[in-house]
Amino acid sequence: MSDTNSDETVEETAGMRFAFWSWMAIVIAGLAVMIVLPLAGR
Amino acid sequence: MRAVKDNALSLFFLALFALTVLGQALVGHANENEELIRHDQAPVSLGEFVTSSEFLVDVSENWQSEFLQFSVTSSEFLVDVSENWQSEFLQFFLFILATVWLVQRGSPESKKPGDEGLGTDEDQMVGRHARPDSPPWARADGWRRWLLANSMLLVMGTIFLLSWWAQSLGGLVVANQEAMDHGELPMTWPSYVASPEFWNRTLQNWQSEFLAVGCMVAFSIYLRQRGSAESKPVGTPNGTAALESE
Repeated sequence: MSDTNSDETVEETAGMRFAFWSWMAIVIAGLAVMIVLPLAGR
Repeated sequence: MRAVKDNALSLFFLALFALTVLGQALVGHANENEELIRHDQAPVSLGEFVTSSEFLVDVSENWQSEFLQFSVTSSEFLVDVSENWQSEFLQFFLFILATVWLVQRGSPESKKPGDEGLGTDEDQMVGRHARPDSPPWARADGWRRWLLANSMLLVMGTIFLLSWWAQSLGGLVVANQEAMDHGELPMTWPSYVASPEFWNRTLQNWQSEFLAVGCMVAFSIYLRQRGSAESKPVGTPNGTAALESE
């Protein structure tokens, strides 16, 4: 666990945004496929 | 190179995820074709097994049997994926929620005893206690601060509910194909989500997740992994969590 009260200032980087949004995109795309296909296949 | 090093943990699991999904598709396809050949049916291609594009294009041209066979093979794959997704996200949802209110003395996965609860605004660096570099919504009042303060649970819970719903939808397609093969009436969605099959698939995933989380919490009291963020430092006393030792 990290110490959230640390005084260290860390710059938010493009890599951090890439990590967040690439995982979010995988989840959203996966959920869309897993919901739409069975509904369409009914 | 610095960007890769700074995000190595995300990238490592991204690569593992891609490889394992590909592996699941390949062996799931092989398994499906073994079953089809055993039942004197034509094997399906890998594309037919995992993708929707051909299905959506052909749906208007094909008639019942092919339509059902294809939807079932893709749904079999998807229900296997979704039942694992839902249990993982439930695991994290409950772990995040439980660690607000419950503690385990000595575990680095836990806050220290006495710190149960939501914490003060000062501890949480919100409102007038926000730092200059805090997220802007940490300083805001009302719904924006509430949304930021609960965003992890909200997202994990939403993904859990959607993937559990997806599991029920895919499972229903597969169950109804089996019912049709046996000359039985198809099930409705409510009857499927009340069926032993749905709950068997669900609970066998849940139990393994809860086992793993429980072990992680309890084992980390006495076991160490030097250098891991999931472990307290090697020399930390057993009764002390990592945060207390700092």
